[in-house]
Amino acid sequence: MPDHHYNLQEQLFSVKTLYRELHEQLPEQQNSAKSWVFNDLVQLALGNPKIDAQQIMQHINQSLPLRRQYMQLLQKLAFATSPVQAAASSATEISSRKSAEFELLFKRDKQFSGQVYVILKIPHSTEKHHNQGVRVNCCSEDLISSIHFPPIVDGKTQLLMEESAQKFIHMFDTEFAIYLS
Amino acid sequence: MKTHIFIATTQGLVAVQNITPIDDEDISSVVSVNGTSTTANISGSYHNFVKKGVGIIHQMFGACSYRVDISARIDQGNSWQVAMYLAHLAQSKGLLGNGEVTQGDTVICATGEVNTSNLQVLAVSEVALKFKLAQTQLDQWTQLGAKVHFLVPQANQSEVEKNHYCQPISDLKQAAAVLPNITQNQPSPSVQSKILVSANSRYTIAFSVIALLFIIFFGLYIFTSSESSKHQSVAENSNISKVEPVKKTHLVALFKQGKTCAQTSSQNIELSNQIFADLTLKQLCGLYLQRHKSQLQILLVAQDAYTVLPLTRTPQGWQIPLPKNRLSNRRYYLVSLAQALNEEKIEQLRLYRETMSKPDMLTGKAMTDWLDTQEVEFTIYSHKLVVE
Repeated sequence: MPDHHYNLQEQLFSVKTLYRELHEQLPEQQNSAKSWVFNDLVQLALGNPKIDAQQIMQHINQSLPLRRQYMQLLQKLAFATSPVQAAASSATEISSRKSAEFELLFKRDKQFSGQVYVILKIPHSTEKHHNQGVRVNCCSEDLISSIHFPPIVDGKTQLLMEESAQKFIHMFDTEFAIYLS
Repeated sequence: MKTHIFIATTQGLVAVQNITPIDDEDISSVVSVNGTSTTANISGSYHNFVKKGVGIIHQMFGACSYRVDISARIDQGNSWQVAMYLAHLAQSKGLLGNGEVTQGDTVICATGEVNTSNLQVLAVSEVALKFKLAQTQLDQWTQLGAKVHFLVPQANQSEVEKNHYCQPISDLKQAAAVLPNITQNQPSPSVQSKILVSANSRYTIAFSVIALLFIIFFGLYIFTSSESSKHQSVAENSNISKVEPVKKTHLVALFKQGKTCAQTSSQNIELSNQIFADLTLKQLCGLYLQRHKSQLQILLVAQDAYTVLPLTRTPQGWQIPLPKNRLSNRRYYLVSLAQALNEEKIEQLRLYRETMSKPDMLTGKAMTDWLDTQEVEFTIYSHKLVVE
Protein backbone atom coordinates (compact mmCIF):
# COMPACT_ATOMS: atom_id res chain seq x y z
CA MET A 1 0.00 0.00 0.00
CA PRO A 2 1.42 3.38 -0.91
CA ASP A 3 2.52 5.70 1.88
CA HIS A 4 -0.11 8.36 1.21
CA HIS A 5 -2.87 5.77 1.85
CA TYR A 6 -1.51 5.16 5.34
CA ASN A 7 -1.54 8.89 5.95
CA LEU A 8 -5.14 9.18 4.75
CA GLN A 9 -6.22 6.29 6.97
CA GLU A 10 -4.54 7.88 9.96
CA GLN A 11 -6.25 11.21 9.29
CA LEU A 12 -9.65 9.52 8.88
CA PHE A 13 -9.15 7.66 12.15
CA SER A 14 -8.32 10.91 14.00
CA VAL A 15 -11.30 12.74 12.51
CA LYS A 16 -13.71 9.94 13.40
CA THR A 17 -12.41 9.81 16.98
CA LEU A 18 -12.85 13.58 17.38
CA TYR A 19 -16.32 13.44 15.84
CA ARG A 20 -17.34 10.71 18.31
CA GLU A 21 -16.00 12.70 21.24
CA LEU A 22 -17.89 15.78 20.18
CA HIS A 23 -21.22 14.06 19.67
CA GLU A 24 -21.27 11.49 22.44
CA GLN A 25 -22.24 12.89 25.84
CA LEU A 26 -19.93 12.14 28.75
CA PRO A 27 -21.51 10.23 31.70
CA GLU A 28 -21.50 13.32 33.98
CA GLN A 29 -23.16 15.38 31.23
CA GLN A 30 -25.85 12.72 30.88
CA ASN A 31 -26.54 12.93 34.63
CA SER A 32 -26.71 16.73 34.72
CA ALA A 33 -29.01 17.03 31.71
CA LYS A 34 -32.31 17.34 33.51
CA SER A 35 -35.55 17.32 31.63
CA TRP A 36 -37.85 20.29 31.96
CA VAL A 37 -41.32 21.18 30.80
CA PHE A 38 -43.12 24.33 29.61
CA ASN A 39 -44.61 24.77 33.07
CA ASP A 40 -41.09 25.45 34.38
CA LEU A 41 -40.97 28.49 32.09
CA VAL A 42 -44.36 29.61 33.40
CA GLN A 43 -43.27 29.15 37.02
CA LEU A 44 -40.06 31.10 36.39
CA ALA A 45 -42.03 33.93 34.78
CA LEU A 46 -44.32 33.92 37.82
CA GLY A 47 -41.29 34.28 40.12
CA ASN A 48 -41.53 30.89 41.83
CA PRO A 49 -38.30 30.68 43.89
CA LYS A 50 -38.35 26.85 43.94
CA ILE A 51 -37.54 26.60 40.24
CA ASP A 52 -33.91 25.95 39.24
CA ALA A 53 -33.63 29.35 37.56
CA GLN A 54 -29.98 29.03 36.62
CA GLN A 55 -30.47 25.91 34.54
CA ILE A 56 -33.63 27.09 32.81
CA MET A 57 -32.13 30.49 32.03
CA GLN A 58 -29.23 28.68 30.41
CA HIS A 59 -31.66 26.84 28.12
CA ILE A 60 -33.57 30.04 27.39
CA ASN A 61 -30.43 31.92 26.40
CA GLN A 62 -29.33 29.11 24.08
CA SER A 63 -32.59 28.94 22.13
CA LEU A 64 -34.26 31.80 20.26
CA PRO A 65 -37.78 30.16 20.23
CA LEU A 66 -37.56 29.58 23.99
CA ARG A 67 -36.46 33.16 24.57
CA ARG A 68 -39.46 34.41 22.55
CA GLN A 69 -41.82 32.18 24.53
CA TYR A 70 -40.36 33.35 27.84
CA MET A 71 -40.64 37.00 26.77
CA GLN A 72 -44.30 36.47 25.85
CA LEU A 73 -44.92 34.88 29.24
CA LEU A 74 -43.22 37.79 31.03
CA GLN A 75 -45.30 40.32 29.09
CA LYS A 76 -48.47 38.49 30.21
CA LEU A 77 -47.52 37.56 33.77
CA ALA A 78 -45.12 40.22 35.08
CA PHE A 79 -46.20 42.30 38.07
CA ALA A 80 -44.45 45.43 36.76
CA THR A 81 -42.27 46.45 33.83
CA SER A 82 -39.77 49.12 32.89
CA PRO A 83 -39.16 49.23 29.13
CA VAL A 84 -35.84 49.79 27.38
CA GLN A 85 -34.81 53.29 28.39
CA ALA A 86 -34.62 56.09 25.87
CA ALA A 87 -31.27 57.50 26.93
CA ALA A 88 -30.79 61.23 26.40
CA SER A 89 -27.04 60.83 26.29
CA SER A 90 -24.70 58.25 24.84
CA ALA A 91 -24.19 56.62 28.25
CA THR A 92 -25.90 53.26 28.54
CA GLU A 93 -25.72 53.01 32.33
CA ILE A 94 -28.22 54.65 34.65
CA SER A 95 -28.33 54.89 38.43
CA SER A 96 -31.99 54.01 38.96
CA ARG A 97 -35.03 52.50 37.24
CA LYS A 98 -38.44 53.87 38.11
CA SER A 99 -41.94 52.92 37.16
CA ALA A 100 -45.34 53.51 38.72
CA GLU A 101 -45.05 50.19 40.59
CA PHE A 102 -41.41 50.03 41.65
CA GLU A 103 -38.07 51.77 41.99
CA LEU A 104 -34.74 50.05 41.53
CA LEU A 105 -31.64 51.92 42.68
CA PHE A 106 -28.12 51.18 43.85
CA LYS A 107 -25.83 52.69 46.44
CA ARG A 108 -22.13 52.01 46.73
CA ASP A 109 -20.72 50.45 49.91
CA LYS A 110 -18.56 52.97 51.80
CA GLN A 111 -15.93 50.44 52.78
CA PHE A 112 -15.78 48.10 49.79
CA SER A 113 -16.12 50.39 46.78
CA GLY A 114 -16.52 47.44 44.39
CA GLN A 115 -19.71 46.37 46.14
CA VAL A 116 -23.14 47.94 45.73
CA TYR A 117 -26.44 47.70 47.55
CA VAL A 118 -29.19 47.18 45.00
CA ILE A 119 -32.44 48.33 46.55
CA LEU A 120 -35.82 47.44 45.12
CA LYS A 121 -38.76 49.46 46.45
CA ILE A 122 -42.29 48.27 45.78
CA PRO A 123 -44.71 50.52 47.66
CA HIS A 124 -47.78 48.40 46.89
CA SER A 125 -46.39 44.90 46.89
CA THR A 126 -48.49 41.75 46.83
CA GLU A 127 -48.64 39.02 49.47
CA LYS A 128 -46.49 36.84 47.20
CA HIS A 129 -43.67 39.39 47.40
CA HIS A 130 -43.77 39.29 51.20
CA ASN A 131 -43.59 35.51 51.28
CA GLN A 132 -41.40 34.39 48.43
CA GLY A 133 -39.55 37.52 47.29
CA VAL A 134 -39.31 39.17 43.89
CA ARG A 135 -37.76 37.98 40.63
CA VAL A 136 -36.23 40.66 38.43
CA ASN A 137 -35.83 39.70 34.75
CA CYS A 138 -33.58 41.88 32.60
CA CYS A 139 -34.27 41.37 28.90
CA SER A 140 -32.41 42.55 25.81
CA GLU A 141 -32.74 41.27 22.25
CA ASP A 142 -29.96 38.75 22.70
CA LEU A 143 -29.94 37.93 26.38
CA ILE A 144 -32.20 37.50 29.37
CA SER A 145 -30.80 37.50 32.91
CA SER A 146 -32.81 36.82 36.03
CA ILE A 147 -32.14 37.50 39.68
CA HIS A 148 -34.12 36.74 42.82
CA PHE A 149 -34.54 39.30 45.62
CA PRO A 150 -35.47 38.30 49.21
CA PRO A 151 -39.02 38.91 50.48
CA ILE A 152 -40.21 42.50 50.70
CA VAL A 153 -40.09 44.06 54.18
CA ASP A 154 -41.31 47.61 54.84
CA GLY A 155 -41.90 48.09 51.11
CA LYS A 156 -38.36 47.23 50.03
CA THR A 157 -35.82 44.48 49.55
CA GLN A 158 -32.13 44.57 48.76
CA LEU A 159 -29.15 42.61 47.52
CA LEU A 160 -25.45 43.22 48.07
CA MET A 161 -23.69 42.68 44.73
CA GLU A 162 -20.31 43.04 43.09
CA GLU A 163 -20.26 46.02 40.78
CA SER A 164 -18.68 43.86 38.08
CA ALA A 165 -21.44 41.20 38.22
CA GLN A 166 -23.23 40.90 34.85
CA LYS A 167 -26.63 40.69 36.52
CA PHE A 168 -26.02 44.02 38.27
CA ILE A 169 -24.82 45.62 35.01
CA HIS A 170 -27.92 44.42 33.15
CA MET A 171 -30.30 45.92 35.75
CA PHE A 172 -28.93 49.41 35.13
CA ASP A 173 -28.31 49.11 31.39
CA THR A 174 -30.67 51.23 29.27
CA GLU A 175 -30.67 48.52 26.59
CA PHE A 176 -32.39 46.07 28.95
CA ALA A 177 -36.10 46.07 29.76
CA ILE A 178 -37.06 45.03 33.30
CA TYR A 179 -39.89 42.65 34.22
CA LEU A 180 -40.75 42.07 37.87
CA SER A 181 -42.61 39.00 38.97
CA MET B 1 -5.01 45.20 72.90
CA LYS B 2 -8.20 44.34 71.05
CA THR B 3 -11.37 42.58 72.07
CA HIS B 4 -12.45 39.87 69.66
CA ILE B 5 -16.09 38.84 69.64
CA PHE B 6 -17.06 35.36 68.48
CA ILE B 7 -20.52 33.95 67.94
CA ALA B 8 -20.76 30.39 69.21
CA THR B 9 -22.68 28.32 66.66
CA THR B 10 -23.38 24.63 66.11
CA GLN B 11 -20.75 24.73 63.33
CA GLY B 12 -18.04 26.28 65.53
CA LEU B 13 -17.00 29.82 66.40
CA VAL B 14 -17.74 32.63 63.94
CA ALA B 15 -15.76 35.87 64.34
CA VAL B 16 -17.26 39.32 64.05
CA GLN B 17 -14.61 40.90 61.83
CA ASN B 18 -15.89 44.40 61.39
CA ILE B 19 -18.88 46.68 61.91
CA THR B 20 -19.50 49.69 59.67
CA PRO B 21 -22.36 52.12 60.19
CA ILE B 22 -24.25 52.62 56.91
CA ASP B 23 -26.78 55.03 58.43
CA ASP B 24 -28.80 55.30 55.24
CA GLU B 25 -32.55 54.91 55.49
CA ASP B 26 -32.69 53.27 52.06
CA ILE B 27 -30.19 50.53 52.91
CA SER B 28 -31.17 47.74 55.27
CA SER B 29 -28.63 46.38 57.75
CA VAL B 30 -26.68 43.48 56.33
CA VAL B 31 -24.44 40.65 57.56
CA SER B 32 -21.83 39.77 54.98
CA VAL B 33 -19.42 36.85 54.95
CA ASN B 34 -15.69 37.67 54.96
CA GLY B 35 -16.15 41.10 53.40
CA THR B 36 -17.63 39.63 50.22
CA SER B 37 -20.99 40.36 48.65
CA THR B 38 -22.26 37.02 49.98
CA THR B 39 -24.76 37.76 52.72
CA ALA B 40 -25.61 35.50 55.64
CA ASN B 41 -29.16 34.22 55.96
CA ILE B 42 -29.51 36.03 59.28
CA SER B 43 -29.28 39.42 57.51
CA GLY B 44 -33.04 39.94 57.71
CA SER B 45 -33.16 39.10 61.43
CA TYR B 46 -30.13 41.30 62.08
CA HIS B 47 -31.89 44.17 60.28
CA ASN B 48 -34.77 43.76 62.73
CA PHE B 49 -32.33 43.56 65.66
CA VAL B 50 -31.01 46.99 64.59
CA LYS B 51 -34.33 48.59 63.62
CA LYS B 52 -35.77 51.08 66.08
CA GLY B 53 -39.00 49.96 67.65
CA VAL B 54 -38.25 46.28 67.08
CA GLY B 55 -34.54 45.98 67.84
CA ILE B 56 -32.09 47.74 70.14
CA ILE B 57 -28.96 48.59 68.14
CA HIS B 58 -30.21 51.78 66.43
CA GLN B 59 -31.49 53.12 69.71
CA MET B 60 -28.29 52.28 71.58
CA PHE B 61 -25.59 53.07 69.04
CA GLY B 62 -27.14 55.76 66.85
CA ALA B 63 -27.00 54.65 63.19
CA CYS B 64 -30.15 53.35 61.52
CA SER B 65 -28.32 50.61 59.58
CA TYR B 66 -25.02 48.73 59.79
CA ARG B 67 -22.91 46.31 57.80
CA VAL B 68 -21.35 43.51 59.85
CA ASP B 69 -18.67 41.24 58.39
CA ILE B 70 -18.45 37.78 59.89
CA SER B 71 -16.00 34.96 59.20
CA ALA B 72 -18.49 32.25 58.19
CA ARG B 73 -22.15 31.81 57.30
CA ILE B 74 -24.81 31.73 59.99
CA ASP B 75 -28.02 30.44 58.52
CA GLN B 76 -30.64 30.44 61.23
CA GLY B 77 -31.62 31.13 64.82
CA ASN B 78 -31.21 34.17 67.06
CA SER B 79 -28.45 33.00 69.39
CA TRP B 80 -26.04 35.44 67.68
CA GLN B 81 -27.79 38.41 69.31
CA VAL B 82 -25.78 38.69 72.55
CA ALA B 83 -22.47 38.47 70.66
CA MET B 84 -23.67 41.01 68.11
CA TYR B 85 -24.66 43.43 70.87
CA LEU B 86 -21.21 43.03 72.47
CA ALA B 87 -19.53 43.58 69.10
CA HIS B 88 -21.42 46.86 68.70
CA LEU B 89 -20.47 47.89 72.22
CA ALA B 90 -16.80 47.04 71.58
CA GLN B 91 -16.94 48.90 68.27
CA SER B 92 -18.36 52.01 69.94
CA LYS B 93 -15.42 51.96 72.37
CA GLY B 94 -12.86 51.41 69.63
CA LEU B 95 -11.98 47.98 71.02
CA LEU B 96 -13.36 45.58 68.41
CA GLY B 97 -10.75 43.28 66.89
CA ASN B 98 -11.03 41.40 63.60
CA GLY B 99 -10.96 37.85 64.98
CA GLU B 100 -7.20 37.38 64.64
CA VAL B 101 -6.22 36.97 68.27
CA THR B 102 -2.77 37.98 69.53
CA GLN B 103 -1.15 37.93 72.94
CA GLY B 104 -2.83 40.16 75.51
CA ASP B 105 -6.10 40.43 73.58
CA THR B 106 -9.48 39.66 75.09
CA VAL B 107 -11.71 37.04 73.48
CA ILE B 108 -15.42 36.93 74.20
CA CYS B 109 -17.43 34.06 72.77
CA ALA B 110 -21.15 34.28 73.36
CA THR B 111 -24.41 32.58 72.66
CA GLY B 112 -27.82 33.86 73.66
CA GLU B 113 -30.93 35.54 72.39
CA VAL B 114 -32.00 38.98 73.61
CA ASN B 115 -35.44 40.00 74.76
CA THR B 116 -35.40 43.45 73.16
CA SER B 117 -38.05 44.80 75.54
CA ASN B 118 -36.34 44.16 78.88
CA LEU B 119 -32.79 43.32 77.66
CA GLN B 120 -32.84 39.93 79.39
CA VAL B 121 -30.78 37.13 77.84
CA LEU B 122 -32.98 34.21 76.78
CA ALA B 123 -32.06 30.52 76.72
CA VAL B 124 -30.95 28.95 73.45
CA SER B 125 -30.47 25.38 72.27
CA GLU B 126 -27.34 23.24 71.74
CA VAL B 127 -25.17 25.19 74.20
CA ALA B 128 -23.18 22.08 75.19
CA LEU B 129 -22.37 21.35 71.54
CA LYS B 130 -21.38 24.96 70.86
CA PHE B 131 -19.00 24.93 73.82
CA LYS B 132 -17.54 21.56 72.85
CA LEU B 133 -16.82 22.79 69.33
CA ALA B 134 -15.16 25.93 70.68
CA GLN B 135 -13.09 24.37 73.47
CA THR B 136 -9.92 23.54 71.52
CA GLN B 137 -9.79 27.07 70.17
CA LEU B 138 -10.39 28.55 73.62
CA ASP B 139 -7.45 26.52 75.01
CA GLN B 140 -5.19 27.70 72.20
CA TRP B 141 -6.04 31.35 72.81
CA THR B 142 -5.43 30.93 76.54
CA GLN B 143 -2.01 29.42 75.82
CA LEU B 144 -1.34 32.36 73.51
CA GLY B 145 -1.89 34.73 76.43
CA ALA B 146 -5.35 36.03 75.66
CA LYS B 147 -8.13 36.50 78.22
CA VAL B 148 -10.93 34.18 77.17
CA HIS B 149 -14.61 34.28 78.19
CA PHE B 150 -17.48 32.10 77.03
CA LEU B 151 -20.84 33.68 77.87
CA VAL B 152 -23.89 31.46 78.15
CA PRO B 153 -27.46 32.34 79.16
CA GLN B 154 -28.06 31.68 82.83
CA ALA B 155 -30.93 29.37 81.92
CA ASN B 156 -28.47 27.17 79.99
CA GLN B 157 -25.80 27.12 82.71
CA SER B 158 -26.56 23.55 83.80
CA GLU B 159 -26.00 22.22 80.28
CA VAL B 160 -22.28 22.98 80.36
CA GLU B 161 -19.80 21.28 82.70
CA LYS B 162 -18.09 23.63 85.14
CA ASN B 163 -15.01 25.22 83.63
CA HIS B 164 -13.07 28.46 83.91
CA TYR B 165 -14.29 29.86 80.55
CA CYS B 166 -18.05 29.81 81.00
CA GLN B 167 -19.82 32.74 82.58
CA PRO B 168 -23.60 32.74 82.96
CA ILE B 169 -25.37 35.99 82.06
CA SER B 170 -28.96 36.92 82.63
CA ASP B 171 -29.07 40.34 80.96
CA LEU B 172 -27.09 42.61 78.65
CA LYS B 173 -25.68 44.61 81.54
CA GLN B 174 -23.90 41.50 82.81
CA ALA B 175 -22.68 40.73 79.32
CA ALA B 176 -21.33 44.27 78.88
CA ALA B 177 -19.43 44.01 82.18
CA VAL B 178 -17.16 41.37 80.61
CA LEU B 179 -15.86 43.89 78.10
CA PRO B 180 -12.53 45.36 79.25
CA ASN B 181 -12.49 48.92 80.45
CA ILE B 182 -10.28 51.03 78.19
CA THR B 183 -8.29 52.36 81.12
CA GLN B 184 -7.52 48.78 82.19
CA ASN B 185 -5.77 48.16 78.89
CA GLN B 186 -2.91 50.39 79.87
CA PRO B 187 -0.39 48.77 82.22
CA SER B 188 -1.24 49.62 85.79
CA PRO B 189 1.36 51.17 88.12
CA SER B 190 1.74 47.83 89.94
CA VAL B 191 2.56 46.09 86.66
CA GLN B 192 5.07 48.81 85.84
CA SER B 193 6.86 48.46 89.17
CA LYS B 194 7.02 44.65 88.74
CA ILE B 195 8.74 45.20 85.40
CA LEU B 196 11.26 47.48 87.02
CA VAL B 197 12.09 45.01 89.82
CA SER B 198 12.43 42.08 87.46
CA ALA B 199 15.51 43.74 85.92
CA ASN B 200 17.42 42.29 88.89
CA SER B 201 19.97 45.01 89.06
CA ARG B 202 21.09 46.88 92.14
CA TYR B 203 21.32 50.11 90.17
CA THR B 204 17.87 49.57 88.76
CA ILE B 205 16.43 48.98 92.24
CA ALA B 206 18.16 52.06 93.57
CA PHE B 207 16.88 54.09 90.65
CA SER B 208 13.39 52.67 91.20
CA VAL B 209 13.43 53.73 94.84
CA ILE B 210 14.51 57.25 93.90
CA ALA B 211 11.89 57.38 91.17
CA LEU B 212 9.25 56.12 93.60
CA LEU B 213 10.18 58.76 96.17
CA PHE B 214 10.02 61.40 93.46
CA ILE B 215 6.60 60.15 92.33
CA ILE B 216 5.29 60.19 95.92
CA PHE B 217 6.62 63.72 96.46
CA PHE B 218 5.29 64.94 93.12
CA GLY B 219 1.97 63.19 93.72
CA LEU B 220 1.56 64.87 97.11
CA TYR B 221 2.32 68.23 95.53
CA ILE B 222 -0.27 67.70 92.78
CA PHE B 223 -2.82 66.43 95.29
CA THR B 224 -2.53 69.45 97.56
CA SER B 225 -2.63 71.92 94.68
CA SER B 226 -5.58 70.16 93.00
CA GLU B 227 -7.52 70.09 96.27
CA SER B 228 -7.21 73.85 96.54
CA SER B 229 -8.09 74.36 92.86
CA LYS B 230 -11.02 71.96 93.21
CA HIS B 231 -12.61 74.16 95.86
CA GLN B 232 -11.96 77.15 93.66
CA SER B 233 -13.43 75.55 90.53
CA VAL B 234 -16.50 74.24 92.32
CA ALA B 235 -17.12 77.77 93.49
CA GLU B 236 -16.63 78.99 89.94
CA ASN B 237 -18.97 76.26 88.73
CA SER B 238 -21.81 77.50 90.78
CA ASN B 239 -21.12 81.02 89.54
CA ILE B 240 -20.99 79.99 85.92
CA SER B 241 -23.99 77.71 85.98
CA LYS B 242 -26.23 80.10 87.79
CA VAL B 243 -24.95 83.68 87.51
CA GLU B 244 -23.13 83.78 84.17
CA PRO B 245 -25.05 85.87 81.62
CA VAL B 246 -25.89 83.70 78.63
CA LYS B 247 -27.86 86.15 76.56
CA LYS B 248 -25.29 86.30 73.77
CA THR B 249 -24.84 82.59 73.43
CA HIS B 250 -26.87 81.41 70.46
CA LEU B 251 -27.14 78.87 67.68
CA VAL B 252 -26.66 79.88 64.07
CA ALA B 253 -28.92 77.82 61.84
CA LEU B 254 -28.46 77.75 58.06
CA PHE B 255 -31.68 77.05 56.17
CA LYS B 256 -32.15 75.95 52.56
CA GLN B 257 -33.09 78.61 50.01
CA GLY B 258 -34.80 76.39 47.47
CA LYS B 259 -34.44 72.64 47.15
CA THR B 260 -30.74 72.25 47.93
CA CYS B 261 -28.23 73.70 50.36
CA ALA B 262 -26.41 75.57 47.56
CA GLN B 263 -27.98 78.79 48.82
CA THR B 264 -28.79 79.30 52.48
CA SER B 265 -30.14 81.92 54.81
CA SER B 266 -28.97 82.11 58.42
CA GLN B 267 -31.01 82.64 61.54
CA ASN B 268 -29.92 83.10 65.16
CA ILE B 269 -31.62 80.82 67.67
CA GLU B 270 -31.57 82.48 71.07
CA LEU B 271 -31.20 80.75 74.38
CA SER B 272 -33.92 80.68 76.99
CA ASN B 273 -33.42 78.91 80.34
CA GLN B 274 -30.44 77.01 78.92
CA ILE B 275 -32.66 75.61 76.15
CA PHE B 276 -32.49 76.49 72.46
CA ALA B 277 -35.78 76.56 70.54
CA ASP B 278 -36.54 73.39 68.53
CA LEU B 279 -35.52 73.32 64.87
CA THR B 280 -36.96 71.33 61.97
CA LEU B 281 -34.29 69.07 60.51
CA LYS B 282 -35.74 68.97 57.00
CA GLN B 283 -34.82 72.54 55.97
CA LEU B 284 -31.57 72.67 57.93
CA CYS B 285 -28.20 72.78 56.10
CA GLY B 286 -25.86 73.67 58.95
CA LEU B 287 -25.90 74.40 62.66
CA TYR B 288 -23.28 76.18 64.77
CA LEU B 289 -23.01 77.14 68.42
CA GLN B 290 -21.63 80.59 69.11
CA ARG B 291 -20.57 81.39 72.64
CA HIS B 292 -19.99 84.92 73.82
CA LYS B 293 -17.09 83.63 75.91
CA SER B 294 -14.32 81.59 74.35
CA GLN B 295 -14.47 77.97 75.41
CA LEU B 296 -11.87 75.25 75.08
CA GLN B 297 -14.24 72.42 74.31
CA ILE B 298 -17.88 71.74 73.48
CA LEU B 299 -19.23 68.21 73.81
CA LEU B 300 -22.39 66.97 72.16
CA VAL B 301 -24.07 64.37 74.35
CA ALA B 302 -27.04 62.74 72.64
CA GLN B 303 -30.10 61.92 74.70
CA ASP B 304 -31.58 59.42 72.26
CA ALA B 305 -28.33 57.46 71.71
CA TYR B 306 -25.11 56.82 73.63
CA THR B 307 -23.16 59.26 71.44
CA VAL B 308 -20.63 61.60 73.08
CA LEU B 309 -18.90 63.79 70.51
CA PRO B 310 -16.40 66.66 70.87
CA LEU B 311 -17.41 69.41 68.42
CA THR B 312 -15.08 71.00 65.88
CA ARG B 313 -14.45 74.72 66.00
CA THR B 314 -14.91 76.54 62.67
CA PRO B 315 -14.89 80.26 61.81
CA GLN B 316 -18.71 80.14 61.97
CA GLY B 317 -18.71 78.63 65.47
CA TRP B 318 -18.74 75.15 66.98
CA GLN B 319 -20.12 72.93 64.26
CA ILE B 320 -22.97 70.65 65.31
CA PRO B 321 -23.10 67.62 62.96
CA LEU B 322 -26.59 67.07 61.55
CA PRO B 323 -27.93 63.52 61.74
CA LYS B 324 -28.70 61.97 58.35
CA ASN B 325 -31.84 60.08 57.39
CA ARG B 326 -33.47 60.44 60.77
CA LEU B 327 -36.83 58.88 61.44
CA SER B 328 -37.19 60.35 64.91
CA ASN B 329 -36.28 63.55 66.71
CA ARG B 330 -32.68 64.10 67.88
CA ARG B 331 -32.42 65.43 71.43
CA TYR B 332 -29.01 66.36 72.78
CA TYR B 333 -27.05 68.37 75.32
CA LEU B 334 -24.23 70.73 74.45
CA VAL B 335 -21.71 70.85 77.27
CA SER B 336 -19.51 73.94 77.16
CA LEU B 337 -16.20 73.45 78.99
CA ALA B 338 -13.58 75.99 80.00
CA GLN B 339 -10.98 73.20 80.27
CA ALA B 340 -10.86 70.47 77.66
CA LEU B 341 -11.46 66.90 78.81
CA ASN B 342 -8.89 64.46 77.50
CA GLU B 343 -9.79 61.28 75.56
CA GLU B 344 -9.77 59.19 78.72
CA LYS B 345 -12.24 61.49 80.46
CA ILE B 346 -14.50 61.55 77.41
CA GLU B 347 -14.38 57.75 77.37
CA GLN B 348 -15.33 57.75 81.04
CA LEU B 349 -18.33 59.94 80.16
CA ARG B 350 -19.31 57.41 77.46
CA LEU B 351 -19.03 54.59 80.00
CA TYR B 352 -21.12 56.61 82.43
CA ARG B 353 -23.74 56.95 79.69
CA GLU B 354 -23.67 53.23 78.99
CA THR B 355 -24.40 52.36 82.61
CA MET B 356 -27.88 53.72 81.90
CA SER B 357 -29.97 50.87 80.54
CA LYS B 358 -31.64 53.21 78.00
CA PRO B 359 -30.05 56.30 76.44
CA ASP B 360 -33.02 58.54 77.18
CA MET B 361 -32.41 58.06 80.92
CA LEU B 362 -29.85 60.86 80.68
CA THR B 363 -31.18 63.99 82.37
CA GLY B 364 -29.64 67.41 82.91
CA LYS B 365 -29.12 66.51 86.55
CA ALA B 366 -27.36 63.23 85.73
CA MET B 367 -25.12 65.17 83.35
CA THR B 368 -24.38 67.81 86.00
CA ASP B 369 -23.64 65.12 88.61
CA TRP B 370 -20.98 63.58 86.42
CA LEU B 371 -19.43 66.90 85.40
CA ASP B 372 -19.25 67.98 89.06
CA THR B 373 -16.82 65.11 89.64
CA GLN B 374 -14.48 66.34 86.87
CA GLU B 375 -13.26 69.61 88.37
CA VAL B 376 -14.09 71.63 85.27
CA GLU B 377 -16.14 74.72 84.64
CA PHE B 378 -19.12 73.84 82.55
CA THR B 379 -22.46 75.02 81.21
CA ILE B 380 -25.10 72.73 79.79
CA TYR B 381 -27.53 73.64 77.03
CA SER B 382 -30.19 71.40 75.56
CA HIS B 383 -31.69 71.31 72.09
CA LYS B 384 -33.99 69.25 69.90
CA LEU B 385 -33.94 68.68 66.12
CA VAL B 386 -37.41 67.75 64.98
CA VAL B 387 -38.29 65.33 62.18
CA GLU B 388 -41.57 66.36 60.55
